[in-house]
Amino acid sequence: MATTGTSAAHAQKSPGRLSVNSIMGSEGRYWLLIAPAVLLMLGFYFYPLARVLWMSFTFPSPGLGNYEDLIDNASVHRTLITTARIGVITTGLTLLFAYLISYVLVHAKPKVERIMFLGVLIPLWISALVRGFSWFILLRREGTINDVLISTGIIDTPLDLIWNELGVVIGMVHYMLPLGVLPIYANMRNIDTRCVAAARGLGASRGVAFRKVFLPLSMPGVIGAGILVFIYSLGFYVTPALLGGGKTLMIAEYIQLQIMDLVNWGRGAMLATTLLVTILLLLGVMSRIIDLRGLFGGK
Amino acid sequence: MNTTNRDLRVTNLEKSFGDFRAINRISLTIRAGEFLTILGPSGSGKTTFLNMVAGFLDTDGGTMTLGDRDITHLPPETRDFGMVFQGYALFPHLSVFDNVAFPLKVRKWSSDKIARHVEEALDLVQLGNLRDRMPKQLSGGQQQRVALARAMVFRPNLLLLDEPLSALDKKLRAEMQEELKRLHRKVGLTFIYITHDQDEALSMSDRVVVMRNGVIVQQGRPDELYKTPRTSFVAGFLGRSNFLRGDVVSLDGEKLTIRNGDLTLRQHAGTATLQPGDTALIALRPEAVSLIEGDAQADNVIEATVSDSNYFGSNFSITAETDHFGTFELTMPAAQLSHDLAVGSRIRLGWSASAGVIVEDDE
Repeated sequence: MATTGTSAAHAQKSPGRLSVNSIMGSEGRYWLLIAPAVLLMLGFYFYPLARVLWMSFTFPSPGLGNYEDLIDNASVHRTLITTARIGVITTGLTLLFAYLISYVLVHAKPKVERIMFLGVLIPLWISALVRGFSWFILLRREGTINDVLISTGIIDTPLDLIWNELGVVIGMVHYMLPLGVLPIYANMRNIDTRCVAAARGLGASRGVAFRKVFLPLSMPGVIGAGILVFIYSLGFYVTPALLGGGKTLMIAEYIQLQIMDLVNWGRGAMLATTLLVTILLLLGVMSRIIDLRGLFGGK
Repeated sequence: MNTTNRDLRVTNLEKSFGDFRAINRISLTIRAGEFLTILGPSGSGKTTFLNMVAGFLDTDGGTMTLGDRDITHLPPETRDFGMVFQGYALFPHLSVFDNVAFPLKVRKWSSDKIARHVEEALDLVQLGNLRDRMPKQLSGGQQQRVALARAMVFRPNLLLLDEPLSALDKKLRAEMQEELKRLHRKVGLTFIYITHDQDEALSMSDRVVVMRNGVIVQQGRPDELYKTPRTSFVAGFLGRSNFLRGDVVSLDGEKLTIRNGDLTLRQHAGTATLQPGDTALIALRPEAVSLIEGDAQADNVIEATVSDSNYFGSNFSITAETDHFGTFELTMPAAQLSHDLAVGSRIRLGWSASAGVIVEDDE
């Protein structure tokens, strides 16, 4: 009697119990797997971030007071313009060099390609700090480059290669190169080389075949690299701080200055919010124009 | 224009990749307006040859002339050759119209002349209604037609086709074969067609060149090559063949007597120069063999045991084991076979002295 009763109870699904499936659909259990990570991100990343950003509306007094600086504060203006200018110049130069490097990479023999590719990746594994200090040795007034130029008689007085915008751009382009090369290279790898051969066979010279076939086919990689590098450049801290020598202030260093040195949390938080919103807007606009998901391998 | 003046003449062409000789002193004249097929297995050098003709690969030696013009070292864009690539190589970022217009745009034609010629070319391949599509919206057969239109729209000196049908399924392939023949007749352009498919080679070409290991093994009209292969490789690659080996016993004018063990074969010498004592290799087509029943006679008769029999509607294909030559293949029209050939049954096979061909052994 007792045994049959138990098995009957088991066979019948108890109506009062809610299974995971019935709440979240059949994929519900997979969401559970990433729940710890999501909670961690919410509690330790998004919450404090939101608190800081919120400060831009509440500190020192509630309202949009901090955002008035965007309109009438000269040093904020200078910083924003410097940031945008360095971002654009860095992105432009990085794309140019990254394109050249990628082009050589995909056209090199496989053995050479592997070695050169390693040359692109290794800097990615070295900290920006170390790379910044390395540029000191090369660029400062008594540095390697000036020494060589003076001793060979090309120049009389050392060039100012560091502690200015030039130094910042040199260091940043160097840092961004692998980030620029990777998307461009990945895209170029997928271009059917026969298309370029076909263009030649159909009467296009080397230059025309490149301009009308290879270049347009490689544009998705260039745009992807451009977005990546520009966004990185806008919020970049270590290299501008090291190589700008405190004279060329970009927004990240300016925020650090406001919060750590001047304890002006309101203005720092306002600039951080501005930076974040700008980047999100940029991504939003770009995603309207091009297929971002395809670009970053989401498809 | 003088037609002989547009012949493509290739003399002693050579190409090596490291130690590998891809093309070994090839000489060949391709007549203006001809449909020439270069047939060979993979690794035979046929694609290398085509790429050299197109100008994508530099030559290590030899010359190429088109009419009176030396084109050996001209870059591809100045040769005015149309090319259809394996996999088509359509420009994925351009529409059908712009793909076909490409060779005209780089030649800086006026836009209304371009429009007129592109329409004409698209009509020629029956794609006039798809001009605004992108390549990836087209089926394989349609992409093929776009590639053809693009390669012909600028009235090239000749058209190079690199295994253009290999990516298509069987039915579409047969359709496109017809289409290519039609286009060739209609535009009268020289076609150089590369393939490893013997059926394509036989059905489409005016002339077939068989390549192997970087050299030309034999060339001729399709029926010539099929009927009188020069070597065992050609006999086996172009269609199927039974190979019979024996020792030449005597030569009486045209007639050879060949012995294998206790079996004596009668065989016409053809162009072969064999002496008594030489080893002879005979290539015999499956359809040249017939069943000998009752007291029928044939120049050569051997006994065999049926090991397999396949029915293909219009004909039978029979595999039989012989004592002297191992496995033997024969095909015959189904209408000629009055009864079923059960596996294991004994049959007698016969063929005439002129049915086989003496070939050089190059396998």
